[in-house]
Amino acid sequence: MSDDNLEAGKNGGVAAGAAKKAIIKLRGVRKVYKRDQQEIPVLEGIDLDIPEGSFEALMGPSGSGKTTLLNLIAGIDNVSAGTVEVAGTDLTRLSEGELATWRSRNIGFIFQFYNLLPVFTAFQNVELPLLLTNLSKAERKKRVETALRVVGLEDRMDHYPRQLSGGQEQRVAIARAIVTDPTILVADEPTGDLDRKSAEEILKLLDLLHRKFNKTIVMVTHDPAAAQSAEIIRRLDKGQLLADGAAGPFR
Amino acid sequence: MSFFLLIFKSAFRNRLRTLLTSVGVAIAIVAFLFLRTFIGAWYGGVENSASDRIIVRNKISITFELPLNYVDKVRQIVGDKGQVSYENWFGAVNPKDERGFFANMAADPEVFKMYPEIVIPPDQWKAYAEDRMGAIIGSHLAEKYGWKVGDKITLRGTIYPGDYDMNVRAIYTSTSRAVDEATMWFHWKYFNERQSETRKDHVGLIIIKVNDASQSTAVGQAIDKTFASSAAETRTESEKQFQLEFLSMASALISAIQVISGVVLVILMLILANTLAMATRERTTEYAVMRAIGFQQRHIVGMVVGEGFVIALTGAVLGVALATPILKFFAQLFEKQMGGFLGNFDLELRAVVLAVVVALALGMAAAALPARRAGKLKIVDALRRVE
Repeated sequence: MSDDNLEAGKNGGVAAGAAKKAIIKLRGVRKVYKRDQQEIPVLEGIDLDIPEGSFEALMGPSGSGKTTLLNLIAGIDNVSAGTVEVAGTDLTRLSEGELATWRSRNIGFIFQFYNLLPVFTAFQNVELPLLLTNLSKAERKKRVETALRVVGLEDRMDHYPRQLSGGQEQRVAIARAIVTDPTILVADEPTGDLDRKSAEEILKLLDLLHRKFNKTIVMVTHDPAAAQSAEIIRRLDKGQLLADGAAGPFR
Repeated sequence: MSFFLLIFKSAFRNRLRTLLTSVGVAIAIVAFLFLRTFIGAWYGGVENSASDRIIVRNKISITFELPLNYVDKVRQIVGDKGQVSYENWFGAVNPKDERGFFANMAADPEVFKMYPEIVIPPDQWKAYAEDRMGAIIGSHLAEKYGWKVGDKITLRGTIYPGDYDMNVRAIYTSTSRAVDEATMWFHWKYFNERQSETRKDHVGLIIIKVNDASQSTAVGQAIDKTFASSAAETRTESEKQFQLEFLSMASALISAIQVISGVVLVILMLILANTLAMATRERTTEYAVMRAIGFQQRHIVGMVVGEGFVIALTGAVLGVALATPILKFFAQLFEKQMGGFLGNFDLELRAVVLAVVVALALGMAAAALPARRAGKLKIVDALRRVE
């Protein structure tokens, strides 16, 4: 995340209530997994528009297809039918390599188990996505420091993951997700492995990123309390989206 | 951070495993270098053989002899184009050490004029020339048996039965690897007078030193033509060819060593492949995360291949460092046991370069399959595997 953006965030980001165009558009999305000769439908006829700068939660029982939907939006899985347009790009038309490049520029990932590389410090973990850019070492350092400052871990940058608490690890993972200043953050159960206090800190951080830095956040969660952090809660059941979502308490 | 650091840290993430793998590679490198050095030492004399010396022997085999009168006939053929001399492989042993091999020859004194690399102090040469039972021994042989100039020694014939008493009159050194310092020569005349009538007046080898090396082939052809269809046909060849033929008697052993050195490399590759397969399997989720955040397949493949390279390099460096004292120890042991017959058992730079290059290539080759697997993994499957 650049300092410019950090400043923009301080000024309030996108005005609340302004008409927002959909940054994520899914049309007639179907996803089927094949096991042996059998087809297992996971998502069926999904039409979804997620506006730019919104914070949405996807909820549903296990096997409802919420993580699959998140993966399709993030470009790490392919649809069986339909189209997925994210940030103006039709992902179904991209090759494996093009998708990787696209992800590096547009998506920040936050995982349930943080998935930091244990042999690298917090600084190095956050720097990892920047290795794919042409930034100089000094520019990378500046960006990493900014990202770690945003998540409140500028004093832990030389710590290894094993030296951090679960909440701190997840904050490092969030710093890694935002360091390239992506348009969209996808979070799969970001608080699923944390205690209540740490979970609340992470949710506050996500809310900060959404409100202050205008990030579009799509979060999968089982936890109704976590879902309340989102502007919109969407529910899936048996591979289908249910009625329109409700606003969370932060809005 | 850089890609190199990424590779380096990944390679040394499980330090014990990487260390054990590197030691495994190092041992394979030591074994490989040992075997290559052995083969190099075995052929060392051949590579340093003189191009102006040619050898005439019985066409059937070097174990068959030639009549003594061939020497004069060969002298006539060679004329003023070179010098001619002769010797017999004696094949005797020291009765005090019957299993201790060393080369010993019954030689015409003129032989020594053909080997300028053999250095004999003039006074000792004079003493040898004047003593019918005199013997010249190499410095390594003298050291091995504690023989000194003036000692009376006895050799026990194996090809030519009987005990032969001799006097050590000279100790030579060599200026070339073509001649070891573990051979013994004594007077052919003394040898001949001890033979039975049927074995008398025969020579094993006729040695020619031509003035112009380019004439070697023509001289050899003329000699073989002269003795064609005779009772003892000849075969004339360069010193190098002759030595190769002599060494070919042990070709099965050398072939076996070469096969073993190949097997060592295969083992090296399997050790690395096993480690890399384990390492990549353990890191499946991490590769999936890296792919998710934008790393390409080629980056992941490069990382795994790079790890193979780093571990192989570590093992190779360790192996070369270990090989130096180990080979030095064996060089001393062989010199003690074989009196320098094996030649210089020194670690050669080209063998080191070969070992390192081969180890690095195999390290990367061993990484190929795990790298391919890591590069091809489906991100969602890999993420789901752990979660």
